[in-house]
Amino acid sequence: MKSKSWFLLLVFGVSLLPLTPVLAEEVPLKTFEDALALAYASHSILLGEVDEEEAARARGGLMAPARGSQADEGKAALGSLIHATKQQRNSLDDKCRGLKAAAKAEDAKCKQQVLNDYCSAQRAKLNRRIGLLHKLRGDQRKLFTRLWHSIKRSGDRIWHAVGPVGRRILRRAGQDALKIAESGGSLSLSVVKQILIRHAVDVGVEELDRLVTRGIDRFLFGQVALARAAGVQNCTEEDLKKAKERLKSEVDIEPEEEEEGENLPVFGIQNELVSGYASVEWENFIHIAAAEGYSPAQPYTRAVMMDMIFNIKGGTFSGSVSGDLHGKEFSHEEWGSFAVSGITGTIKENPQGSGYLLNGTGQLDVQVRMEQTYTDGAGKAYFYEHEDQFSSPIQIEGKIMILNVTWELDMNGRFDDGTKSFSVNTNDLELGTWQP
Amino acid sequence: MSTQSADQKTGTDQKKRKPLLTIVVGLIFLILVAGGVFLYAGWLGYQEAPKLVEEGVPDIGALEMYDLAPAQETLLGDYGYPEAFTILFYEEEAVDASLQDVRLETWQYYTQGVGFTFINGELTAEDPIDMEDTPVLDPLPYTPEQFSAYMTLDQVLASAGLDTYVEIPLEKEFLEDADLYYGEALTFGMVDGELRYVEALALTTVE
Repeated sequence: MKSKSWFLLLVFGVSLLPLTPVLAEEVPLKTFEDALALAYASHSILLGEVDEEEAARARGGLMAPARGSQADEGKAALGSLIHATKQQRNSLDDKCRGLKAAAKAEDAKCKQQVLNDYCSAQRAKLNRRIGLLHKLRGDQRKLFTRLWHSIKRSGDRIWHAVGPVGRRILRRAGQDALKIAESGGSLSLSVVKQILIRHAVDVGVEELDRLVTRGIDRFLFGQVALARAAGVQNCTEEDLKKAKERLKSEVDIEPEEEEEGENLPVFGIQNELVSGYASVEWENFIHIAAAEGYSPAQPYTRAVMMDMIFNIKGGTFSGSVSGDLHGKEFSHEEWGSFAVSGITGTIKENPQGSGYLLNGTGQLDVQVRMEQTYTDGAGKAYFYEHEDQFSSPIQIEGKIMILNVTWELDMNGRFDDGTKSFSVNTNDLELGTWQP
Repeated sequence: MSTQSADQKTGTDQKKRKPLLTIVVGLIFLILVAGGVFLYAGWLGYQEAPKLVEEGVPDIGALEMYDLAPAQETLLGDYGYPEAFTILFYEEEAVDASLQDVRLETWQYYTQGVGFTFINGELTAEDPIDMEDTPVLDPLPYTPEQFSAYMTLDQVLASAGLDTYVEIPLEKEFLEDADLYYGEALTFGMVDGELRYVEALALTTVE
C-alpha cells in the first residue's frame, strides 16, 4: 500500500512538471511564411472553411454540427487550420510554378536554383504541418496523452465556471469570432453586418495570393542580389549560406579599419537633383529624359529625388531614387514617373581610376504616358495616346566620384535581359555627411 | 493489574490507529495532489481554449504611431485611407547577412477597384481588384499607422481601442506560441506575444 502511494505520488508529481523541455535555443527568425500562415488561418476561421476531408465526415454524420461536443469543435478548428495550410501550400505551388517557368525562359540559373531550394523547403514544411495536424485530428495519440487531454477538457469546464471576471470560454470559436468581427460587441447583438471577403470570397483569396507573390518576389530578389554581391555563380542554398557567412565576416572586420581612420566614413545624400540628367526608357517606345538646360524645343521639366546612404567602409549602399518627368515638343507630350525603391548593394573602390563602383538591386516602378496629335495629308487631325505602368526588380550598377565636398553619380538600372530601364546622372552635387 | 491491562489496550489501539492515520493522511495528500493536478490541467486547458475577453481597453499611456512613408502619404492624398488593409511583419536577411524588419502591407480600395502593396513603405505593386457590384462599405475604424511591428497585445488593444475580442490559441503543431484575435472589423495574429499579422476588414450591411 505504502509503495503504491509513493508510486502514485511520483506519477502525479512528474505530471506537474512542464511537458516541454526548457532549452536555451537561438531566437528563431520571424519568418514571412509564419506571418502568412496566420493570415491564412484567420481567413479560414472567419469564413468557416474546413478541410474537405473534415467536411465529408460532417456530411456523413460523424461530426456533430455547430454546438457539438468540445472534441468535435476542436476537430472543426483543426479542420480550419488544415484547410488554411493546404491553401497556403497551393498558393505557394502556383507561385513557384510560375516563377520557375519564367526563370527557365530567362535562362536565369541562379534564380532557378534559389526557387528550387526555397519552394521544396517550404512545401516540405507545410506538408509536415499538415501531417501533424492530421495526426492530432485523428487522435492517434498515445494513451497517456489522450488521458491528459481528457483531464484538461474536464479542467475547461471548471474554468468555464471559475475563470477570471471578464473572460468567458467560447464553444464555437469560429462562429463567435465572426460575430465579434461583424458586430463588434457582445455576442448577443444581432449581426447586421457582413465581412466583405465573405461576400466576395475570391477577393479575399486574391488578397492572400498578392501577399504570397510580393513576399516571394522580395525573397527571390534578395537572394539573387546576395549572390551577385558575393560574386557567387552557384545559387544553391548551401552556397548562398556560405556567401552570407563570408559577407558577414567581411562586414564584421570593417570596424577595425574604421578605428584606423583610413577610409571614408558613411556618406549620405538626400536632395533634389539640381544638376544632372535623368531618363526613363520603356520598351524602346517611350524615352523620357530630363536635363538641366535642355533644348528649348524640348522644354522638359523634371524633379528627381534621391535618398542614398553610402557606407563605403562597410562596403554597402542603400536608398531610393524617384523622379517625375514631363516633356513637350510641338504636338508630342510625355509624362513619366519612376521610383526605384529598396535599393541595396555593394560599393567598392574603382580599380580602374578614382571613385567607387556600385552594384546592387532595387524595385523599379514606372508609369508613363504619351500623347501625340498629328495631321495627315488631307488635313485631318489624329490623336494618339499610350499609357503604361510596370513594376519589376532591376539590377543597378553605377559609378560615384567624390571630389572633396561634391560628388557625381552615374547610375543605371537594367532588367534581367540587359535592357536599360532608367538612368540618373548627376554632377557637382553637394555631399552630405551622414552620422553613423 | 487492571491498570496494566488498560495500558496494554491503549497501546494496542494506538498501534491499530497508526496505520489508519497514515492512510487518512495519505488519502488527504493524494486528494490534494489530484486536486492540484486537476487545477493545473484546467489552467492548461484554459490557456488553450478560445476565449471571449471583455476587459476594457488597456491604459498603457501614449502610443507611438507608425510614420507613413512618402509614397503612402501621396497615396492617401490621392485615394484617402484604404477600405481594408493587411500588414505582415517579419524579418529577412540583408545582403550583409544582418536581419532587417520587413513591413509588407496591402491597401485595398474596393470601390475604386485597386489594391496597392508596400514593402517598408515603398510602393511595390498596384493590382486591380475585380469585383462586380461593390456593396456600400462601412467606414473603416482603423488606419495602417495604428499598427507597428511586434506590438504587444496591450499595445494593439490600446491602439485599436478594442475592449471586446475573441482570442483563439492555435495548436502548437500549426505554429508554436501563436494566437489569433478577432475584434470589431479587425483580426490579428501574434507569435510569442508579438504582432505579426493584422488585417482590418471591410464590413458591409446585410440586406
